[in-house]
Amino acid sequence: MKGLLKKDLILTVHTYWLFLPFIILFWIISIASEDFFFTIYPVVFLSALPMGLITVDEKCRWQGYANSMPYTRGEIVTSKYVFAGAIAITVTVLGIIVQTLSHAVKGTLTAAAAEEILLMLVFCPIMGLLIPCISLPCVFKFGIDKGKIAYLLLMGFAGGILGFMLSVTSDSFSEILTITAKIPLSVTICGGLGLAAAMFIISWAISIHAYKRRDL
Amino acid sequence: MNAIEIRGLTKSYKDFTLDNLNLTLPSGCIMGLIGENGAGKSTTIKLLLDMIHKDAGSITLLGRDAETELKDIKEDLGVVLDEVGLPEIFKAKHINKIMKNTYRNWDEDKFFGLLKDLKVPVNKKFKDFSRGMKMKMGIAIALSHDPKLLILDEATNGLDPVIRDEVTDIFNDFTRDEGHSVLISSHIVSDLEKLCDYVAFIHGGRLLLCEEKDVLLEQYGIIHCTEQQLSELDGKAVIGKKISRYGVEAIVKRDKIPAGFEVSPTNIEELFIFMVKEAQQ
Repeated sequence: MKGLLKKDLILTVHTYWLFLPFIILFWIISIASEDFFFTIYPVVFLSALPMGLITVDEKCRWQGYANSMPYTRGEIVTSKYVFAGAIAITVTVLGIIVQTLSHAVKGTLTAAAAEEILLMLVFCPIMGLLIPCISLPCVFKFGIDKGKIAYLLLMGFAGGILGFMLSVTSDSFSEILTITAKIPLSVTICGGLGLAAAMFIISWAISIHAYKRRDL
Repeated sequence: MNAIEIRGLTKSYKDFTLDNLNLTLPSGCIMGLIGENGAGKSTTIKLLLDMIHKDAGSITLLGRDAETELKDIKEDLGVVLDEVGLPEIFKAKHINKIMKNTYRNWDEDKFFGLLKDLKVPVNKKFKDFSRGMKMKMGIAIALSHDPKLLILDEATNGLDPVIRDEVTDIFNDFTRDEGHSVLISSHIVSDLEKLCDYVAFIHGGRLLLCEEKDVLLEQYGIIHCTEQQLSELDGKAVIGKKISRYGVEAIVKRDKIPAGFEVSPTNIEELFIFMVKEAQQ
């Protein structure tokens, strides 16, 4: 699998290097505006990378070629998930470091600020893995063209359900938020990381199952 | 040990079926898999590489079961498909880095040596290569990890005669080692005729023939006669015929033709064309 990861790393560095200045810009804006959105957004932004890499793979017919090499279908799938996980972890950690240093330099590193920074450990992995966890099984099952359509349909469907639930249960939602605010931070972090890990593992298993059965 | 053993291999699509294919490639030999477009050559090769799933049958590669040991077998396979599927921005050094971490026996010196011999530029991006250069890169990759079996799917199609000749020499050198074998598919029969020890004709998903090339050329010949003369021959002697107003041209089994008929040598291309036309009727 090392060869597959090296291939994706080389492709990312050569094809997507333009993303780096944007990410740095977002972090600078986040520091200046003290708005966490601009720290979290790069995680979401980069979460589309694995699908972008599969697009390149299909365009150059790498997938058939890789299948002739000593890799199993499971390894080919796993390499994309390892890549997605590595991006999410790296950008999360860097985002936390950026925010911590920013607060430390400004002298605003209070307990509340630290708590907010630590909450990034919940949001960033979930946001960073949400798109790959939904898109990768679609793409491994159907290929990139039909997979993107399937992914958009799923996201549209999920968004519709969520919107409906919010509109119907708005009072209950406020109560839920009030209750969850009282949950200890450590429990929230563990719960959030657990949710991200569960999402990741289930998606990975579905992708392997789908790709093993696909004719290339 | 045979390099390839295929038994009862079947794969069905909506409008095409590869039907009960049985094929054996002895070790140390080059086999040409010959067929027109859509005959089932690429389907056969994709089944060997598990790119598509078979409906029935068994495949043994290098004496090992392809169903359970394919990952290990692929260490000993060199594969060149009709398109070399490398990302456009890659240069030789990137390809080397990836393959070094893919194959246990990757030989970096051999890879760059082959690129030099084949005059493949090492500092150019893959997207800027001509078709011939891309194929030569694919061949260099396939040969740089000590493979025992080369599988080539339409690898020489679209190449100019000079490069085809270079590539043919490389494959001939490869099989000087008795443990090395080659399966090469093409619809350009003249390429394979020079290269192959065995030929397999595939048409409409069915194997028409699989035999040693020299045996085929000894067994079969071509006659020119009238329709009257043709009708007097043993039906089993005639493999295929072409009737025109100038007479009949027929591919025949030499040992079933009576003395008095002049049987001229044939070539693999003629044999294939006649057999396919006969199968189509």
